[in-house]
Amino acid sequence: MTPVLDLQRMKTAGEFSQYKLLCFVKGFHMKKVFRVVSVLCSLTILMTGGLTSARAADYPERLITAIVPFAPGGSTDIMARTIATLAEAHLKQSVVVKNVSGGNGSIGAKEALDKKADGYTILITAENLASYRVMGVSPLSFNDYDPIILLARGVPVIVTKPESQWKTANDLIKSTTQKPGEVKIATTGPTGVSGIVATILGAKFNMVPFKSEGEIITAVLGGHTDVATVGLLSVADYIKAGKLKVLAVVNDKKLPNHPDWAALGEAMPEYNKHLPWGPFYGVWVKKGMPADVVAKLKDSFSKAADDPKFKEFVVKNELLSMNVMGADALKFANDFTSRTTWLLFDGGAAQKSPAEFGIPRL
Amino acid sequence: MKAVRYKSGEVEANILFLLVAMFFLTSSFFIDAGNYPAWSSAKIVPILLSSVMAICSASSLMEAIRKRQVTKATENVFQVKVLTYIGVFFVYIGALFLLPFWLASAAFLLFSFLFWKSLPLVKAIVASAAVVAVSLTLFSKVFYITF
Amino acid sequence: MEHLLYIALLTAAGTLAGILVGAIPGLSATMAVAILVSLTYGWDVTSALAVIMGIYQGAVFGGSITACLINIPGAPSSVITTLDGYPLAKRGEGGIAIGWACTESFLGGLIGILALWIGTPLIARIAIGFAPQDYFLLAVFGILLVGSFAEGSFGKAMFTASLGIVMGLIGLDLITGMPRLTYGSDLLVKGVDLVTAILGLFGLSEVLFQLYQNSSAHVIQKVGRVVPPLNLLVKYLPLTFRTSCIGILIGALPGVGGPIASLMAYDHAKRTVKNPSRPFGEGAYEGVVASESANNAAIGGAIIPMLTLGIPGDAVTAVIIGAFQIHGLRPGPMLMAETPELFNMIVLSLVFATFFFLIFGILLIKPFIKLVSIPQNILLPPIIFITVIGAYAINSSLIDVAWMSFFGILGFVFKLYKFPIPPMVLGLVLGPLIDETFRRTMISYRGNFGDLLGAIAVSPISLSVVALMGVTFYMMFRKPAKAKAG
Repeated sequence: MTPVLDLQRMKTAGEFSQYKLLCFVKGFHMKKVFRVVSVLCSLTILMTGGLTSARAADYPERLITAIVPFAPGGSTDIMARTIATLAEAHLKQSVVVKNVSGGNGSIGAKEALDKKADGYTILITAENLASYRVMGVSPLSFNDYDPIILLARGVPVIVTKPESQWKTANDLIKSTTQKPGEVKIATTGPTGVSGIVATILGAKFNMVPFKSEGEIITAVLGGHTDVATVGLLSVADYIKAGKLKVLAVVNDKKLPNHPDWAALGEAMPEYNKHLPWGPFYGVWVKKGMPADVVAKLKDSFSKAADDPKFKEFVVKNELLSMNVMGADALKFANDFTSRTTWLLFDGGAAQKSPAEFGIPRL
Repeated sequence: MKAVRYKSGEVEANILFLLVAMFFLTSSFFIDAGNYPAWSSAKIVPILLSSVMAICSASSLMEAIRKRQVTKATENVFQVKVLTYIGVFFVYIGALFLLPFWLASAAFLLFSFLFWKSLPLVKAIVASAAVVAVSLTLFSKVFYITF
Repeated sequence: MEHLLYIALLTAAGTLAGILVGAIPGLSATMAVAILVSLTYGWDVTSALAVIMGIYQGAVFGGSITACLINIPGAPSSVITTLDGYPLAKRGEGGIAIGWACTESFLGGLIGILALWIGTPLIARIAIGFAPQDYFLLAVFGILLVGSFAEGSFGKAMFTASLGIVMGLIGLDLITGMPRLTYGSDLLVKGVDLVTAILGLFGLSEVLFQLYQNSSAHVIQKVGRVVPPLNLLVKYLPLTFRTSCIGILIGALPGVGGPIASLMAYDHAKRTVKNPSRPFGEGAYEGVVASESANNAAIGGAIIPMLTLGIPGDAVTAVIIGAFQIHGLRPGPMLMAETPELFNMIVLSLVFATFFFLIFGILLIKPFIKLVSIPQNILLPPIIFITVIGAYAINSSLIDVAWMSFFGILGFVFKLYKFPIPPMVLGLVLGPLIDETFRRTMISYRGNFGDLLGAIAVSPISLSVVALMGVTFYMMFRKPAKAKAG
């Protein structure tokens, strides 16, 4: 501490200070810096050396990076941070979430593929991988990864203001056929959940794109658009507070927690071929991981997903629990890819046909 | 402070900027607009703004040409010193892709200290090692950034 | 009481961390809060919030330290602070510049909190009222202001601004979901990162330019009185109040945020202050006052839509919403009704944080000044390294470092030929905003300009934005005429 005090006194002495300062920086300060550096270096060597020598044989011997290809604070990020914290206990290693956002999630997905298939990089992502190829965003798809576990899926709901003329989804569709292109629906772009749901409805909407679900809700509340389809989580409280009303839940069945809301699949069975459709969250790894690594990850993450804390999280966030692994997970992802890509192509949003990539129509 | 007058390179730089603007303008026309009508297509804002860019760089170019005609004072923009340093800097950036982050950085810092004649060799070595060690430790241990 | 003390201590720790994170270019409050969300997973929610609010307040102020001293804004919201803060440092008044930034951030922060405390319902209603066309008008207004920066010519400022806008559009287009201006490259799909641009355009280019100018002239920083005198503080109080109001409103609009708030506040100061302490852009205290009070006031503004609507006002509040959800809380219309004590806790932590950064800020000025009093030739190599590691830290990606280098060279060339740099950075912020809002408006009115004009004519919000633009325009063009007459 003494040199700092000393320096302060020198400073007031005007020009002399500069000379002294030079002495200070070039002179004995270096010794101190050197000391600090040597301590730091030895510390680092100790820490890293200690870790590697202790457990060299069993898989998680250093921290695992979980890539989340979206910005912090988004739904995928929250999901990833929750499950990562719970999985740490079973992996007996830190799982650090790394947000690599951009390109609708394709940048982070690519980064997970660029790393070694050693189990130290995993990918926690949402449904977006399905549409990259047909949208010309990136050549990646779910086929490039092995599923560890699919955790949960969200349910979109169709909402409008309480004083709206529509009471059911049927009313809404009728309006759009009477006045095609007049009804404004807020979406998060054509590949977003609401964009695809609007395509599922197949009605002639005027699709007004917004950046996030939050902006969509303000647009409906402020009367700037007529309806919106959003994830249930974002609007649950608005419905409870009576500021928005539900026209239908975009699902084949009614939701167990909200039996009073109509399900689109039950009210209008013609939509059932597209359902269930909604965002889903899963843990993925690059293909070609050693079997024991994959087994360890599957074991740890399924235990984390069974944790009551995670179950509570799923309920609080208005999600539906999935816990699907192995071949079932692959089938779910492939079916989802087929539905989504063909919807995008038929709706005119996709540049390329899913047939180009051998994606079958369901 | 006395105003420094630049001459060499100004016109060329403005021509370069104009070319950049033209490049963006042309590529804006080739943006895939999807099936959106003209007034809301992905092209419209890039086309408008790169036109503004082109107009502005053209006016700046005219100004530069006028200035070149009236001023005699020159100052050499292409200083060997600056160009060398930029060159080495790019070698460093390239080296980052091949060598470990700390090694390339320490080497570059050492070079910089010597280049600026800031410190004698031994102290420069210590200083570069210190800067690299301290910052890498901070970033990796506190912010979980992997190098 | 004990609990309060505990909360105060946590906030203090958060604020200190925030100041440092804000001051180190490349590390952002967003990143720090995201890390904390994981760390505080097991904590109770009020403790976690105390740390987070501390970081948030601290970081927005911290960004101004490097902006003033070495012309590298530590955070995007401090870009405008460089305009007058750095010239002050060049005169040896770096300490005074930070002193101003600190006290004004404090005052702006408090006014923002006050607005949050009493005005939440009203401001939330105004924010909901903003229609797509209003956001568009606001973005256009922003571009006009950028053009008026011009140290040199309007044309040069518009050139860098429009270059920024067009480069800001590189990447995935939100509306079609397809890549745009990426030339088929995977690297470009992600778009241009704002922070890499700041590090390159401000940081690297500055080092290169100093090398070019061969400026061995070493500025001795005054370290006498760094706290602004009371009479001046009182004199600027009306200005502080006005710019803070601008900050609150802009902060409350989702997706607009700190950088634009300080831009608008700075422009307001430039137009309304008749006799600045020095001409704007050459080290006017008023410039620092406007920019720093507005960006900290924007915090109070940004929290309003976060709490009442569950909509983030900026990137940091987006992460804070995530923190809420991890703790099982859902920001939105029910939050304030169901857990009013949480709202009080947030306000309290913010107040603590504001006082703490005032204290820490003033204590830290002298060490920081000492740091920049190290001779240039020793200081510059580490600065260049900081720009590299800072660019890397954003995404742990070397591609970002390459981008940063590109922006560094570009900034150097801009400096050589007197193209102003801040407009380019603001262009990168405004680009996506103007593109999205314009197209959203046009889609919403199905290309019918008549309907659009009709909607503007009946909306009080649209009319006020238009009136604001009109007045600004009028003043912009009246000035040169007056100068000629004089």
